[in-house]
Amino acid sequence: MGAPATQADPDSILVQRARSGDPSATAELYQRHSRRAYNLALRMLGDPWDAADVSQEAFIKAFGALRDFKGEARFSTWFHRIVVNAVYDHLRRRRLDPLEEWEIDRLSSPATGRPGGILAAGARSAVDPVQDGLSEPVREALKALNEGFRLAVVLCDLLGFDYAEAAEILGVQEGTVKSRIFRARAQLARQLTESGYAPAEGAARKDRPGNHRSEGSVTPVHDPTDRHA
Amino acid sequence: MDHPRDHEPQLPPLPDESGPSPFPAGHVDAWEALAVDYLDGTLPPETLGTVEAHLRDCTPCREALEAQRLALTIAAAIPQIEPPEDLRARVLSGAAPRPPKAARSFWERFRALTRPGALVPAAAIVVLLLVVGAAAVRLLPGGGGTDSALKSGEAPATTAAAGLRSADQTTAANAQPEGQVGPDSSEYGAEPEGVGGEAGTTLERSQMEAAGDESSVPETTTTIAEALAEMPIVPVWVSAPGQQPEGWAAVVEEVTGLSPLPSASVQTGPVFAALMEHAQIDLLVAALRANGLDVATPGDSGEGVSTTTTGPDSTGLLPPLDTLPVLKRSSDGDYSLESVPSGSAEVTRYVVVILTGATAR
Repeated sequence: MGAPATQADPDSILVQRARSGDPSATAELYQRHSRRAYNLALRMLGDPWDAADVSQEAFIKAFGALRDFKGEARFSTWFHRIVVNAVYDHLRRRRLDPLEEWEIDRLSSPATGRPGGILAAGARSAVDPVQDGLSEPVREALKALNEGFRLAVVLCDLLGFDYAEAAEILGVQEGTVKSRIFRARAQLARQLTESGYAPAEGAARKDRPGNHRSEGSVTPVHDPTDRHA
Repeated sequence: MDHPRDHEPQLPPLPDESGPSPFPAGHVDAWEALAVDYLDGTLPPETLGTVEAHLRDCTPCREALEAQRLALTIAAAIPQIEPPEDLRARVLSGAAPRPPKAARSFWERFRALTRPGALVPAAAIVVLLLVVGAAAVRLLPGGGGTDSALKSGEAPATTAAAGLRSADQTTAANAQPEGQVGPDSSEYGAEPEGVGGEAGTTLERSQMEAAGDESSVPETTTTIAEALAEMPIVPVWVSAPGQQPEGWAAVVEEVTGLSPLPSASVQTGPVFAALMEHAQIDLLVAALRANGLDVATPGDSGEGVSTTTTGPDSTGLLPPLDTLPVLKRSSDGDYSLESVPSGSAEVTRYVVVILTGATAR
């Protein structure tokens, strides 16, 4: 399993340059990977600030550990493993310290059932502090997913990682990734159907060529040509 | 530094993984992976034929696949968000990662909380009170009564605001014995770089002024926002009676960036008692009462401070900062709730009452 390493990795030269102290290479690595890292954290944590903090933490950790990067995996895989670990560290901190278990949208979520929720029952904000681009039902449905399932769906369906790379990032078998994705999708669909959510017409994506998705709008971490190299 | 490959991502338990499959009984879990590949169009021809033949006969499987398609449609519509502009600089400058929450500036959080349309509480009044520490701040040049307010800080509390022990600057400035919630503790720096230092500087100036040499008073010009940004802030969260929200401490943390709230009692109970003790909230409460606001203290209700009043409007939108009502202690020790002075004023303590809620019912 796993993506082919080194020679096919479009980042390998950048990594070498960054390792020898070339700041422009570091900047380029940031440029190429920041968007997906941030969105991975954002969709997992639901909080733009936490996502930024976790992204920063992951980048700094990765850049500080570049000499340990042996090229056994692609940089993208190696780096996103760090991001995932940072995300899980953050989620764990939230669990350990209930006071940390705070998301900005709880301020006005009417879903708490308490009189007024934490702030008050009332109109939910239309957007998060930084727009997260989600409608309320989708946000809620994503949030309701088990973290492991959500991670699989975020990696593959939202961010366009192929199953093999997602499996390597997560340290599980490819079939496990697919199984998690399947169940996550099933739950998403069930919950959104029950809430009466109807996706916009025309948003359907009938064909998914190969395993690579969303490449067009994503920082090109993957080199599509090395998919089966 | 840890080698990232040395530790696998630590997934939380996936209780559902061995749980019921959405497929009907008799279908093995391998169908899930198969279905994913089918939807991707990556099944080899021989398998594809088998799957398609099965789908013709199996309604549940067809429905399951329809659900998958719906989820894919939804996922495809989820946009990728651009990272915040400052993230690049934060990463490339090699700045130490900010501890979660702690370095998020107060104003950053405040703006997020109070942005138009952000919060429209309907049922409960929710008031965020910010007790601004006891630094003397001159707002705008030319203020009169330079030291009277300061001196009043040393006066015995005998006025109508009785029971208000005055905000004795020196007392307030002293570190609290436990080092917890002292208003001037640098722990309260919403801006971690240097709030403590600046507060100290301001304090020194205050003491200099308090020494009585008016000619030595430096002329400084600042806006209320600037002044507040530099001042230690003690947040107090107040809600309508009976609606002291569970987890309000977390709210205060989030809003203020003071995480965790520097009080050992935050997690164990009488949060308000701690705040009252250390942050001289009694001053605030009494002052609010003196201004006609109905305030119940923990002693009254056992539930924490609650209050009924009206917000600046009923929409939950905050007015501009410079129109926020300010609780001002005048030179004779009285408190008044007024607009931020447009002219000049010398104040020793500001209490900004930020109303984020609508009228209590």
